[in-house]
Amino acid sequence: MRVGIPQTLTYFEFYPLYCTFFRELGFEVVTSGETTKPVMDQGILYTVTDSCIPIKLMHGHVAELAKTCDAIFVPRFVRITGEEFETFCPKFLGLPDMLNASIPKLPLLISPKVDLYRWPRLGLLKLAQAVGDQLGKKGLGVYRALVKALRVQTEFRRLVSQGLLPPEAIAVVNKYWQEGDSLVSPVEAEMVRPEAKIRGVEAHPITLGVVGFPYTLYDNFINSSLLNKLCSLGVKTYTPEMVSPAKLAEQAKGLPKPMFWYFSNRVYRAARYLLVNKKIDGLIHVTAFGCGPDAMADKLIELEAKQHGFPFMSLCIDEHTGEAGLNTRLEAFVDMLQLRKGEQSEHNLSAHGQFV
Amino acid sequence: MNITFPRMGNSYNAFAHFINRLGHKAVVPPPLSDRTLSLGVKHAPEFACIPFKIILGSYLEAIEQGADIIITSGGSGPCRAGFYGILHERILRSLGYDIEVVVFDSIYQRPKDFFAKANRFRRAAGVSWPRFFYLIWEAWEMVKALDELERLSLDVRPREKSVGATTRALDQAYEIMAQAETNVDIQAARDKGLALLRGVPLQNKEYLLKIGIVGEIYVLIEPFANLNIQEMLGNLGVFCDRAIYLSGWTKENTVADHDAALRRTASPYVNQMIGGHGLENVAYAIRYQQQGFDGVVHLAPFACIPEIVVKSVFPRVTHELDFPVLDVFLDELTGKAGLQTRLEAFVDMLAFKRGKYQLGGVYT
Ligand code: SF4
Ligand code: SF4
Repeated sequence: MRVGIPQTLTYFEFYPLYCTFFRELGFEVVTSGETTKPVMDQGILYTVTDSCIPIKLMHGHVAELAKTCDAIFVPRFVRITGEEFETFCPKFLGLPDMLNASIPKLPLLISPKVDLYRWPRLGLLKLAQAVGDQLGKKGLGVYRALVKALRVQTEFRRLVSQGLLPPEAIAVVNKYWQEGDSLVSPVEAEMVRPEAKIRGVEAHPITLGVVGFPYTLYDNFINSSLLNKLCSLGVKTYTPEMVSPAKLAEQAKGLPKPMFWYFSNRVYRAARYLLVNKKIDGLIHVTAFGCGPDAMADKLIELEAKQHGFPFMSLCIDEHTGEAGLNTRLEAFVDMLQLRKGEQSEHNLSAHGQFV
Repeated sequence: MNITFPRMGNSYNAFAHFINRLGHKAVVPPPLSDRTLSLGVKHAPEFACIPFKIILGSYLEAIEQGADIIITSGGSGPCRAGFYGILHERILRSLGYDIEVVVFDSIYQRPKDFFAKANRFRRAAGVSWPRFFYLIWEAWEMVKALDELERLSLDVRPREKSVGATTRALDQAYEIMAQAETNVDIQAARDKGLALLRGVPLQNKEYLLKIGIVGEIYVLIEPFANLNIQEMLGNLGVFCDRAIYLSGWTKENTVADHDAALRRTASPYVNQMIGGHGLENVAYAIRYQQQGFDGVVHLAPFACIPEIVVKSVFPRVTHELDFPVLDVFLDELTGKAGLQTRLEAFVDMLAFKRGKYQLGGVYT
């Protein structure tokens, strides 16, 4: 039996867990691959016009998997943290329903409800059992698969905390599955890859915070390779995934009450962390066209950046985002930052006689 | 304190009543207009939902009228509305207004917070807690009375003899209500208003059709936001029933497991609370079908998150239940003429389906 995992939305956050769990249960696991033009077009076909672009892409990925898979894994995310009112955007909550209503000839949709607010461990166990039941797997095997999956997920998190981008860390996990070596050894090798290295070096002219949902930041098709482009401009970037959970949690105090959406809270908190601690020269918020939560978060982040005195740019990505337009905007922004930095240091030079 | 609040449908009467009776000064936001909307559009994020923009514009107009504090409701989401207040305040502040938005979250979820905030207004007005709660109850009675008037108008309008008579009677009834002071007055005003509406001369005719209106609460309740769709449908001779009222008055209200029943009804299509009235709207539509309505108009702001989910599953509902749904998604560019055309086409289609329509545009 072949289980398909769409390569978008929570893929960038939990794929190692999904993949390990199903493999350990003895299933073949495939992904829908990177987003492509045909995948996007399919997605557009199956969604209502005013839906956000990530949900359109999701429909495309699922439709892609529907061609070859016996089952598709699309969990219904409700709550995964200890915050009572932190849930997901309504489109995440209703995702399986939308897919069911829109895509014809859908194979088995494995969409257990993920609510880990009260009993995270027990919740996970029950979740694993529910999925196992649906696929006819019972007993200790399911439990063992879950334990292994959590271990791989922890390793993945560690890789990300060391500065690998989620897709790079996922590549490591995939390599582990292909070659069967331990998860630890290839890390160092991966770390010296050029992109990884450039992020590790300290002496960059410009450091940027680039915040947004993992499914917009790391999908190179839909954002026209934004991060690579910044990399080639010599910019060091911080993304929300590089800020530790503890530091993110601290930033909750920036709002009288948290937002209701897991991903938006993370984006806002990461932005605030970078601004408050002055880790960056400027901030880019990558928003998704048609995204409801983003409309709120973007304004909050903009005001926050203004208050802390940092240049801010909001980049909205949609199905027509052209590379050319994006490049121009990025270059202009980076140029502006460089100029500003130069001016600032000159200013400091005259005032204090030395660089600060 | 000069207090203002979000304007939504006819409820401003009750809010103003409460604030004034408490001893503060209510600044009723001026009737919503194109100016309100363009003020809101100018200062709100581009992709904010239309209620957010209208309410922001309306706050700005209320500030012009001298409001210095805003009270509104919050909520635990998961939709954007629960966060409106916080963002409105930040935007207003960034525009240089020294204004405070006091957000009342659910009394059940954050009781301490609720009472602390309520206490502020109570103490400043110098009234006792029992009186405070009495006034809340009284205002609630007015909310219910106002909704009762509006419901009756929906029944009368499609059968009125001369176009506009019902709307005039309803406005008059609201005016009488606005004069009410005590609960006795409110009940009397209600009776007078109902009598006025019942007194509207009728044509001796059945409704042409019955259409249910479901959708996002703000655009459902506020006629400015929905381009006065109730009146448009009524003038087409259609009886419409609206699924959501502020007073929560629905026919099923007496059923104890109201929520659970809705959830069961919707479950084949949406099997999860998705925020807003998303799940409920699917259930309401199915109920309208069961009650023999001809179709449903689904109203929502453009890009409204839960209603997008609903819109995505409605084709399946329509297909499986053979029940037509017209999605009307509203933004600042939606024009009245365009909506009128779409409604007429929808009504024609439904009438045709019913066999009430003959070629040449003549209804039997
Ligand atoms: S959070 Fe935004 S981008 Fe993500 S699914 Fe919801 S509306 Fe779409
Ligand atoms: S339900 Fe729709 S209109 Fe209301 S806050 Fe959510 S997105 Fe906006």
